[in-house]
Amino acid sequence: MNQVAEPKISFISDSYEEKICDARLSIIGQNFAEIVHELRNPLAIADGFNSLILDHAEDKNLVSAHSLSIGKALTRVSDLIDQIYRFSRMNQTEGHEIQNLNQIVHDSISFFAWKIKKQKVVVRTNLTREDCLFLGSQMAIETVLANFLSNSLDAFKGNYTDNRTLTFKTSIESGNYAVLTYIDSAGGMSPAVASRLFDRYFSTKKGWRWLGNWHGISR
Amino acid sequence: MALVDDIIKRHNAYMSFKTEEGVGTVFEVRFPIYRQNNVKLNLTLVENDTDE
Repeated sequence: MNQVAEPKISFISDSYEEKICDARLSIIGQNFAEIVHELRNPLAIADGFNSLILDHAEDKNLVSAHSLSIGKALTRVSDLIDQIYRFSRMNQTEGHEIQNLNQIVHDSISFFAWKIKKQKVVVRTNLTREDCLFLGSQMAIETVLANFLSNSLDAFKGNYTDNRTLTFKTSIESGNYAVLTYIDSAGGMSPAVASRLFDRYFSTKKGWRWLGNWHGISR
Repeated sequence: MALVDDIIKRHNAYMSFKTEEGVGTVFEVRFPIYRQNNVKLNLTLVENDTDE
């Protein structure tokens, strides 16, 4: 008699959810230029006040330390906005220009820094000092690294190991190839999963998440 | 990961991976290195692939 009727949402299939999430992410992507503009204004104001704050401080040592922290945080937010903006621009996947593999690795790690820290994952880098240059699209290769990182971080969630490590290496092989080596300790894949890894529409993730974090935005 | 495979091919790059269940995974991606005198060749190849 007192049973509360559960909302009947079971008719909503994964594909329906996928379409909604896809549409919402696409809308964010399409409007991100305006969002970036709105975000940059208060950042510039905060940065301006932060640079003036020392002039009015009584305890300059104390305020200087706080001001430095605020400056770092503002720079981090500004970098993130720039990265998301670049990530969301469709036409940048088409251009092929000279790219530095080391820079792409650095930017990709920075993009996921918060998530990496939250999951207590250790990132190791061993990047060659040589120019690791190739022709291609920065956005496309960042998408590759985002896929690697996203998959590893998802795998770490269900993997209660103390060894949560991601390793990035770059090198020049025989003067002919710029090589990226990405290593995770996230538990690996079963032979069944590994054999289907590059199959279209194959994923071990449930629901719309198989589309990937940036599917809608990167369109 | 099908998208990753597509991107790698469009860059004339090669990818391989090794995985050990319970341990981890290693991906290796090899991009043709940029040299001043092979810009034209690489651009042509990439454009052909993109037209697929």
